[in-house]
Amino acid sequence: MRLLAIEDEPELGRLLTSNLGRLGLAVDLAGSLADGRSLLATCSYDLILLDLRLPDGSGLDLLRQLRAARNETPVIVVSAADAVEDRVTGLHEGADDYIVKPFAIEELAARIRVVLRRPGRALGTTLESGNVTFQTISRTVEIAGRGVVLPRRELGILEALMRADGRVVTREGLEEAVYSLEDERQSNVLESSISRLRKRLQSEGATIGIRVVRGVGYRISEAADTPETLEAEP
Amino acid sequence: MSSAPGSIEARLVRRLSLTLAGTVLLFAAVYLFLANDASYHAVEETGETLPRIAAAIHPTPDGKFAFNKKAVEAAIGHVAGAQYAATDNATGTPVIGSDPAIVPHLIHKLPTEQFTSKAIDVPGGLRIIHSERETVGGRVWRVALSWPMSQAQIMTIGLKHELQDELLPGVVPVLLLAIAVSWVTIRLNLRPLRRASAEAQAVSVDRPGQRMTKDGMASEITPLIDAVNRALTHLEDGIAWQKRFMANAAHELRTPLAVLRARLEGLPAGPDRDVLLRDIDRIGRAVSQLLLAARLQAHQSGETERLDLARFVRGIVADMAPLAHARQRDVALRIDHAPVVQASSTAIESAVRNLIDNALRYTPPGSAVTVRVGAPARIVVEDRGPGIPKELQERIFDPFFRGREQAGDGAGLGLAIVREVAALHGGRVGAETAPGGGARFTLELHALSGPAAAEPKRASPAPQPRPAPASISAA
Repeated sequence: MRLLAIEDEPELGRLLTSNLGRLGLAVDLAGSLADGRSLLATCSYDLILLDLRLPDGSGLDLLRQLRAARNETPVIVVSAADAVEDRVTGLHEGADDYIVKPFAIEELAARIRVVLRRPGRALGTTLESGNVTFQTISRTVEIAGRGVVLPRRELGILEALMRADGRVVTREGLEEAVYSLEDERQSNVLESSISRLRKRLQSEGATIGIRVVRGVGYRISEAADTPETLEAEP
Repeated sequence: MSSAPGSIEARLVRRLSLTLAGTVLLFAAVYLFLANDASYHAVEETGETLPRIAAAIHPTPDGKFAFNKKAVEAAIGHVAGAQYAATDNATGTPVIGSDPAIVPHLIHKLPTEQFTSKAIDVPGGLRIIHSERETVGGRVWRVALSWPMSQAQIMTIGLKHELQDELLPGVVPVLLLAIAVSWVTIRLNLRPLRRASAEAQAVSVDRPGQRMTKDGMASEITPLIDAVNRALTHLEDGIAWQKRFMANAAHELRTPLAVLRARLEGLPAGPDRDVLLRDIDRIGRAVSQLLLAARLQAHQSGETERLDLARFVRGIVADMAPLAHARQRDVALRIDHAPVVQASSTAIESAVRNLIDNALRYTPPGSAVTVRVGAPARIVVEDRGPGIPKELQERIFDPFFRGREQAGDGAGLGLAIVREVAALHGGRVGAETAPGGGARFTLELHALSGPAAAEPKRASPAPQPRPAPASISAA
């Protein structure tokens, strides 16, 4: 897996490369739009980290060009501008995410993972959270190295939650991921499926749990920060 | 379409109409005054009187003609100082009338037309004389009636005739027409001014480059338009400068922080590193708050849009939940109502984030922050912390207020920003201690009536958590 960081501040670029490298992400660095374009012309990247303010233009121009050329390489904008307009513009032009400087490297890595876990992306086929592995092609789940057979709905829920990698998936999002059109959407079906999945994860010794965000949705969390008292239904 | 009472159009039309109507009324008054004058009646009635005078001529035994004085007196009794005479139209032979001394003058002055009315200056003074040809018993007489009249009376009568015969029939319609034409002219000439005011209304910080046009504008107004356009240019330059400044400031402040943070992250883990990272995050938050506060002060919060408040707040809560969980806190959302507001999503997101962030800081570990969206357009954020003493409930929104915090986190602008955002939207924010003991912040906005917008025009910044589960195909 290879990332391209287009960042004109050399020191930040160097540190970004080494810090992400320690997290297992190989990063090529380009100091300008021109450098970035020539690297993009010769190599194939799984993801681009794009600064907006570059010496030879705006990162948004490159983003527009890529999308106009049907290049769907995921892009995370890394910018010092946090006015929501900037963020909205970035996402509107086809960026997959937006992070404001200064940022925690773990936060950036988490966002990279979420983007790459989408179907068809570099991490989209084998999803890993804690000791749980989800093979999206064969639709098989392993917990702590042992194969676990899950019903269809629970597989769908787990896949959606694992692709989100700790971010919240709304109820609607889960329902869409789990039910095909002919299924009846009964409000309690989702809850009971999640409840069963949660028990199963626990009984199989998974290091992740499912945490509810009442009124919003669910997310994968490390089992350690899932207190029993907060497992009420939303 | 009628114009407002205070408009130039209404004023001009009103004054012009009043002036013209006043003129008409003046004419009418003069007319009525003249019509009431006694001499007017006298004059008017000569039309009846002259035939009666003629009818009073009768042949005398000596083959001449004389007046039947009684009959004449009966006919002209009401005219003071009246004299009368007649001549035979064919022979010119006079018939002695009232006063023989006047007769030659009367005869001399007798005009030859069918009917004549004129003023004559005779030894007795100014008189008016009317004469007409009257046929009595096959003989044609020129009959004359005269009575004394002052110069003023004569002029008055002349004026009255002028009014009656020429001015009233001619002038009144012209006056009415003038009012109508003036009104239309005023309307047409004010049209560019109306357009200019519509253009001025449309000028907004959100839409730079809007200018008022001068097409068809009166030369008195164009300097004003020029001045307004110049002012707009200056204003936009200022705003553009300020935006550039803010962008530069953000870049210059955040880039070194990002470098510093990345450098620390490259160091081996340890308690010192963690403390320094926390410090950097604090500075980062302070920078963000200062930049945001400055933007709000400059009203650079961006365009407003229709926001489905429940959906919008849910996006923010979803986004912040992992952070809350990482801090061993929980966050829950309750939607009692789904209001639609016209608001700047930038500003509202900042305000809601700041409220939740603030609540997460005070709620004890293991407890939950509750966010509620209610009617009419209310966002309530409640924590399980110690609550807010009454005397601080107002001051807590002051910039840099530190009453509640032991160690500052951020620039102390979080709640000040919330208040600024509320004010920007004509709403309000209040703090109180909830019945359960924690702090309760209520942000009130104005609800739009009408159905909830399905989706804001542009993508809202946090309508959905970032992963797109919708794109996952279920097995």
